[in-house]
Amino acid sequence: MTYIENVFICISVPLLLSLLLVKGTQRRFTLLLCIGMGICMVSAYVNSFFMVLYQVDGVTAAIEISPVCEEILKLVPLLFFILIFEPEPQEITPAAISIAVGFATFENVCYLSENGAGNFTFLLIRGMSAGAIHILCGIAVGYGIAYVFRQRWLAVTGTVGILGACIVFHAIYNLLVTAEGVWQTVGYMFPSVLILCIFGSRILLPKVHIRLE
Amino acid sequence: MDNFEIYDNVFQTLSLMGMMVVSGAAGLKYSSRKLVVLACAYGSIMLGTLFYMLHLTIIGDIPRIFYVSEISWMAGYLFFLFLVILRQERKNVDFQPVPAMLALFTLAASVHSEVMGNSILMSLAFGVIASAIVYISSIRIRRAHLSGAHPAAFDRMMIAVVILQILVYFVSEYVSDFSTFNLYFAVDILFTLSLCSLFRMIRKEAQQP
Repeated sequence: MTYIENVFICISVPLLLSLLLVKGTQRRFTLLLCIGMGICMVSAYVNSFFMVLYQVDGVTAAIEISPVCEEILKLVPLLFFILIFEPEPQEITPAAISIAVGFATFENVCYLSENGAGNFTFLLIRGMSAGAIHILCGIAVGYGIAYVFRQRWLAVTGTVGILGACIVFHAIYNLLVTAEGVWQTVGYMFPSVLILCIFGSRILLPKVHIRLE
Repeated sequence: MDNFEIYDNVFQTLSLMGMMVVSGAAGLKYSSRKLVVLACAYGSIMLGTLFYMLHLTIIGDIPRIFYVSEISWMAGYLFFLFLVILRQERKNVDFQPVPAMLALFTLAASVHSEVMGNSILMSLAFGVIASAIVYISSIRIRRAHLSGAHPAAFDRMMIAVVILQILVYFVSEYVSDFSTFNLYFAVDILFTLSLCSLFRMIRKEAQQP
């Protein structure tokens, strides 16, 4: 039995207390980090509900159920942030990434509390790739939503499209890492490679007068 | 890899990936919203098929439990609906009985064929999007006929795409062996080619001043 709610409280209380002392973007980052961790916990409940409902094992749930639930739940606080606080477009991407970082961090905590921290090499690979896929989805959602909300005509359709893309990316990652051999290697590699591509495009695209933000 | 469904899905994924790149590049070149939306539609459908194909290749079976590919495909059709709305000259859509009956038939066929899996909600959502596409496109065709003009090829092809999409699922109900080429794959390949042909029509419109 893993008392993950207790772990969540232990991690989030110091961060929430720090909100009293920090201001500005640091406060926003910390709060969104906690929200991301909270969303991770909520999505675990939702995943479990659907696992029982559909009577499926952990692998099937990880491939088909988790990506849908997790990406939808991660989008909810971001949409709330955008629709209620109406931030500047350049503030949306860091917010989406902060939620994704919180989610990825707490997911790794859950993994560690269930499986232990004995195998450093595997944990390093898993931590990097699982973290990278959430951050990749965060970047995609951040840039995508910031773009589609600026083009009002594309807002609703674009949001569904971005959500669909993130769900599929996440599902493909989960599918690849549950496989063996070359598929698994590709699965561990592709989120990091795509992040490097986005990082490279951020540097190269302004040189040809195209901006991602 | 002796399953023909894998080859069919590889063909669909590569074709749509290519069309997505070409549409996106043309969209940037002509500064055309329609081509960008078309690229997004291609991308969404391609990603859904990519997951489907990888699941089939790695697990050896199609995804049966939840709606990963279906959400992506649905997003693709939402982009198509948006594209159809973008092409509207008039902002208001008036009620016309014949297109409404066609739309109703599309909705009923989508739900009956369980286009988006066992969930009625998903098939209903697809049905609503598909019937809206059929309704608007058929109104445009009818309007063109009444005014003596030649109806746009895109409207006819859009209706054909929706019909072929429903037909793919309808035919799959009666096919049990997916290892060799059969009617199901013929319809699916025709569906893929119909999707690809949309680019030519939209590019033609984007090129017009």
